[in-house]
Amino acid sequence: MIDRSIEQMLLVAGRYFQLIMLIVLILVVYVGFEMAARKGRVKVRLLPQVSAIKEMVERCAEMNRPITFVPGGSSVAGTTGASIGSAHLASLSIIAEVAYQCGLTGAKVLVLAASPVLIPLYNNVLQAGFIRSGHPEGFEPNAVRFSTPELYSYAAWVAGEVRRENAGANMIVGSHNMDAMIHGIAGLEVGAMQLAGPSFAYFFVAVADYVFIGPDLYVASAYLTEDPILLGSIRGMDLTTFVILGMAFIGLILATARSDLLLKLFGW
Amino acid sequence: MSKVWMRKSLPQLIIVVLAIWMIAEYFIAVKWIENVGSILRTFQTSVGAFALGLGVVATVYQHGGHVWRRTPGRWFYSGVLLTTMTVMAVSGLIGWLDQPIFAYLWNNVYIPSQQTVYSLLMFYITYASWRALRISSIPSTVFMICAIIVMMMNAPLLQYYIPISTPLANWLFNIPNVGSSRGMALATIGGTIAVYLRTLLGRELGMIGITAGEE
Amino acid sequence: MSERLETRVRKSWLTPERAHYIIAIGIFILASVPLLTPFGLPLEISETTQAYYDTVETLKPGDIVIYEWNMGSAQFGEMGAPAIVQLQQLFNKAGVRIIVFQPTSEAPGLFDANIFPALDLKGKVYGIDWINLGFYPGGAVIAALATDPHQLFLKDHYGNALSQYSLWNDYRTGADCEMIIFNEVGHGGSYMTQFQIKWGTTIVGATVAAQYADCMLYYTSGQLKGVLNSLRGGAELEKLTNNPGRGLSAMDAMSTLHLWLILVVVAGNVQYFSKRRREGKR
Repeated sequence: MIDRSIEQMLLVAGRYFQLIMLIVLILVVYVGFEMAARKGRVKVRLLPQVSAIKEMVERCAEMNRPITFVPGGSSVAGTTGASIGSAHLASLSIIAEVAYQCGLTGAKVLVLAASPVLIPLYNNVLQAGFIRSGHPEGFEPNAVRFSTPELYSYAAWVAGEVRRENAGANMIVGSHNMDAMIHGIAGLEVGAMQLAGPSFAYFFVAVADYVFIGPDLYVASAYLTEDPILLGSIRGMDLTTFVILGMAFIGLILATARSDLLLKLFGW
Repeated sequence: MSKVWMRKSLPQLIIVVLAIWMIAEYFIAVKWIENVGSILRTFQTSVGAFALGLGVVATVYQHGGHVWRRTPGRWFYSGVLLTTMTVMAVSGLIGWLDQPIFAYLWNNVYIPSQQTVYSLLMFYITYASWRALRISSIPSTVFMICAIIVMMMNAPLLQYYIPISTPLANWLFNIPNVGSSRGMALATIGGTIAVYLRTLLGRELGMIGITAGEE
Repeated sequence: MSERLETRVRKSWLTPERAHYIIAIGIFILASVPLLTPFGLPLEISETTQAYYDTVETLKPGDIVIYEWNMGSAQFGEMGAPAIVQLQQLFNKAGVRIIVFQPTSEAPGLFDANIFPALDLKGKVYGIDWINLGFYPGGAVIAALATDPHQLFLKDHYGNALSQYSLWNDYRTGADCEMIIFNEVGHGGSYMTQFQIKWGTTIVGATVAAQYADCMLYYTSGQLKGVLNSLRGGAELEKLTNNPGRGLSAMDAMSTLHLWLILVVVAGNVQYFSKRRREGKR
């Protein structure tokens, strides 16, 4: 039973507008996909964070220092790490790209996993990246390391690994909790080049060289796959933002006119 | 069944069906849809519980390997970890906090050590502030001034002697912070919707370990 | 630049390692001295803490409150004091019924060892006035708590069947809950999605200092009716409820440490400018 006072209707009362908005936003993103499919490759501005990945890998190959990738232990659920959030998903593309670049340059990458559930996933993604680069022998079976799923124990371990391995680049990309600050400082102390985000971006701007702020990670993830449909999703993402901004603007006008029409609509 | 079906299509199908079901459960007032949704939530809780167990297995495997192979610089600490883990697990299972060994280790070892690592943030943030909050450009100057104002608001001593810090910090929280955070949140929502829609449409294969070039 | 000059430029007294030591020693002294010898400064109550207090005070006898603590032992130093004063305020309210819920594995132990022993239960009976669900893993527990709690939650933290408790039988869905008090490193977003959007449930809570700015987003929009700003918010609530505890006693240390932080920032800038001037002259 959802609501004891519900009317005999198919849809749950009080959620009609939410359903309409969900359908509208899905359609808007889908329109982005279709536009991309028709026009071919969508032109997306190259993010400096994306070009920094290649720069960081090349630097590490020259200095013979490894890259440490810290995908984080927090998820959208944030409790046991059993769930995988959108930022985690998006960071997999970054891992794949790092593996690809490492295969080309001969650099070493270490993924410091927080969740044991995701270890096979990281292994698959790394291996695929090295295979794509034409250097499958570059993949090391112990490239994905795991110590503990406990958040602050993980933070202490990552700080130790970054120092022990003397990382040349530290990528703190994924879904993080407050332990991310410890990862950032550990990289700063060994003089590693850092790419971080999108969690705690306000802190990372102080310690990292490149930061994914807000939706940058999702854009980078779609950009790196070079899939026209996924790039179309970036257009869809922008269209979604315009729709929401449009609603915010209408709400601003209505609120200024002391009308609660939009609020009533949200509750319809 | 073919390898491609097992590796790619079947997981995609499961993800899509379950995702659509949970969305439908939120909007459609049909009892049997809600019952299945309820069962799926119970499944997720069970998976979460097993993930805890998997964490233990993975920890034992990793650290047991270091001890077995006598990995230089690591095997001793791995041994300490495994020993303390076993002692805490066994004593906790026997009597939880009524067991004196568990209670002692919990109150005097585990909690203080976790709080110690968390407290390192204070040292790290102070060090980062020393290095990063510099008047080297206009944005960094603004950053520094805002940080100092917020610090003044949080400290009763400074609030008392510098009364203007409170209204200034409140203005910073309520106007620039809310405005910019809301903008970022809106943009991030678009990205999140795009990622999840890609997953629903079967275009986001990262979750099942397939990335670009491998499809 | 000549070799001698290069050596002189490189030899700055304040190296990063020395700075690290000075910062650490300063933090240690300025944290421990006020804790040992508090000097008791006046504490200003912030708007969000006052709003939190006023909102909780509107609870009436018979109202059901879900109290969540979604953090680990690491945050206990910062959020333990607010938890004690929050729960005490709830237990002080006659007739208010409390469902305590901890979605993290460490929280039940913290509550059993440190929080519940510090509370005066004011005669509230377990099972009738309050229950402790304990730890349930997974991200869907909050959705289950809102939609069909009796399907997932079968036993309480102590292993007893929940069906025997009248409070649990009165709570069938999120519609039966008057208020949610969250304590997490976040802004209670899951409760907004699962409870507030569906039933307009009042949400207040406490969060760590790093996430307070995030919570302001939802406080200004009216989705959160009150927020405690970590230990400082706990201290303010202790003052409002006239229940001094660890929060108030830590405020002096908080003042001195913030002052030290500001001094470190100023020192960093002085060092930066003097280095630039030295290099400019040469």
